[in-house]
Amino acid sequence: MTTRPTATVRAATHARLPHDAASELADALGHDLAGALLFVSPRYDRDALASALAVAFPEVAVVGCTTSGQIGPSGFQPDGITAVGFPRSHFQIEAHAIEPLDAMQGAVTEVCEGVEASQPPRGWKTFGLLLVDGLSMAEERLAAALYAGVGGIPIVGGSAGDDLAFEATHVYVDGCFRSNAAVLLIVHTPVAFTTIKVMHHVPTDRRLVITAADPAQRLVREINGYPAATAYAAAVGVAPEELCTETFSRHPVMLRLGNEHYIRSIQCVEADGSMRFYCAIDKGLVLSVAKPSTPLDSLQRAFERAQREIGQPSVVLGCDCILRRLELESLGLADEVGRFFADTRVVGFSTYGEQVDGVHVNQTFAGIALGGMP
Amino acid sequence: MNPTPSIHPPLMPSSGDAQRELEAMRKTVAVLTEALEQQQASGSAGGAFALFRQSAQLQTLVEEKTRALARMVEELGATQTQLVHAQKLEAVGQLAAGVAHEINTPLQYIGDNLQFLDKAFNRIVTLLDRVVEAAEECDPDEFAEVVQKAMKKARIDFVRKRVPRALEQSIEGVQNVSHIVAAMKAFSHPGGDEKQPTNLNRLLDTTRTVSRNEWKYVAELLLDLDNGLPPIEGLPSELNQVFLNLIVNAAHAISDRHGTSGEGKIVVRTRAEGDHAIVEIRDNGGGIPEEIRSRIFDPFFTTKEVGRGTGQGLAIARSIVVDKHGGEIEVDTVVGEGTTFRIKLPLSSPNESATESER
Repeated sequence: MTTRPTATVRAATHARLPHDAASELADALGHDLAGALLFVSPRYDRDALASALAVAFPEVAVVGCTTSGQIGPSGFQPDGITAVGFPRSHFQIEAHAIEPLDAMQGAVTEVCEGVEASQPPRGWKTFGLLLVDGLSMAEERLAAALYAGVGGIPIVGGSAGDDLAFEATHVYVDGCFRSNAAVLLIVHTPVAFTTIKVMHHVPTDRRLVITAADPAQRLVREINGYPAATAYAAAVGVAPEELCTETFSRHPVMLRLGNEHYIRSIQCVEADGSMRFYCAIDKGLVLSVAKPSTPLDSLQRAFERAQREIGQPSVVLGCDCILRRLELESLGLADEVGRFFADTRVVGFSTYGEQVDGVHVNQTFAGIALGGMP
Repeated sequence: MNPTPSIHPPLMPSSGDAQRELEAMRKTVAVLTEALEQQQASGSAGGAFALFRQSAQLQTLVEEKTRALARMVEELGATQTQLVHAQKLEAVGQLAAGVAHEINTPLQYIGDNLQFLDKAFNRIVTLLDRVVEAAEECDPDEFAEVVQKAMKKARIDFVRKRVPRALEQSIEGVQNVSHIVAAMKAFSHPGGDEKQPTNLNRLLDTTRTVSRNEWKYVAELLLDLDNGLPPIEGLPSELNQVFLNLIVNAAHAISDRHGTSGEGKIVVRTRAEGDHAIVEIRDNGGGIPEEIRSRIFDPFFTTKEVGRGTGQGLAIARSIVVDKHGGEIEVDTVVGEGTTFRIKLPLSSPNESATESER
């Protein structure tokens, strides 16, 4: 009986000082890494952490982002850093920085050319992991452009967070933390993998029509001819002044395209009663108020499906919407789901939005599950 | 979808202000009209939302195509299984003529021997009759002479000498036939999809027996088997097919180079190497020319004339070894010297040995 190591290595640190955190992670992840993926609490001094990481991981493609909470070996982890290491034996990694996001075309073209030129060993397959500034409002354009440009490579991604402060979110690539930027991690591997996408909301018969909006700012000003917050509050049955993140997490709105329903999540209510969304909206859209179904069941089903496809995952890189965690917390299910994530080897973060292939979505768990050694 | 979607918030706090509500409804209708008109006009207004809609529709399309592709891959897999079965049937069919010949030879001499035994029995009976007769008719002096004469006439010395050999040869022949029949039965057994503990040495011995007629005119076949080789988890029927394909190929290669000169030699060797079983099939045929080496495992690639091969033998051998057993198949060949196929099979199934551990 031979003992085989798993394809990837997981690690986590709670160290407060950047230097301690970086060296703890480097020790835990070990040598001979092709790349490492870090999910970082926004509480760190970013410049100090960037320098410490550069020292701790020489010649390793390290990328990451700030979050609204990490997911790691112990489930949901509010502080510190969680990480995945990709050993050289089973992974070839390319980290592509994309900036600035407000004028991305040149950078996207360059990245797509770079991905096309890469030559993984025969029989290896490729996926992309996208981390993007969560306040850039550029995810739709970025996801669509990348997916079209790299052609057929599955891409899963998440929008960086800042513990719900909505001030600044950062991605870490090429040795520093950047805003107005994204990073596409291209991973070549002989290890089997599959995409996981989980939502657990269903539409109700209550409809909202967006009657005034500022699409560039993802702002909905009016719904059904009333100030957006007033109409939304009435539709979900709470007083306008009681609207909070918990309401938004339980009752996102959904949009029907073809036979699919897509969640559009609400970020916050502005002072003038308009509502800011986590995704593209437009005037004239008809939305349905959504209600939650069973969160844990839908996760379990999706993970079981992945396991049938690739066997027991060695790691699941997970982008899980912050609103999902808030909803779980309000339902008292956060510990249980955290344990489920720990058991199923999820490493990831609480996001401000998720990307699956070319589409930017909300209130979704989007992940890539990697199997064991081939 | 739910039957009647409602767009009017039921809990509007300003229900007293009918004017305000009317205004709101009017605006809603106006915006919806505008949106509908825009959709009617172009369907695409540009901007982030239009992009989202396009991407989402594209994703749905990709998902549908992916599902269709997955179905096709599944069907291809089924076709591949059928192909393996068909090739096996074809191989068994080709073997049948050789096996018939192998069985016919012992049957022929068993038949000859039975005829001889029949004659010998008749002579002995005639002799006995004559002896009994003489005992009744002759006086004792005459008796010995008469018996001597009768024995000479019955050539009883020859009978005494030849009968035991005829019997021995026939028993051996019957054993041969039953050995060949048992091997053929084992070889052509369809086998299931479930892996089972498999003795590679026994499979090779069986394959040697059923394929004898394919090589015996051009080569000798030596078995150099490691008796300590542990069983592997395998599909015996399909491994038989692999070994047969390789042995027949070896015989063809030798026949092309040496004809029936008697210089041909096929050596089948097994041994354990780490946690793998190794099976080597070596011939001293003409070797594989360099320009076609990279293509020998391709389906339908063949250099043989019509009727001698369809170009599936090695492709199927590779599929069985690599895809179904997680093994490896390699070829080492020198033009003018010969070819060795080397098969490496895991001694225990990968599922059992893959245990998880984390650094």
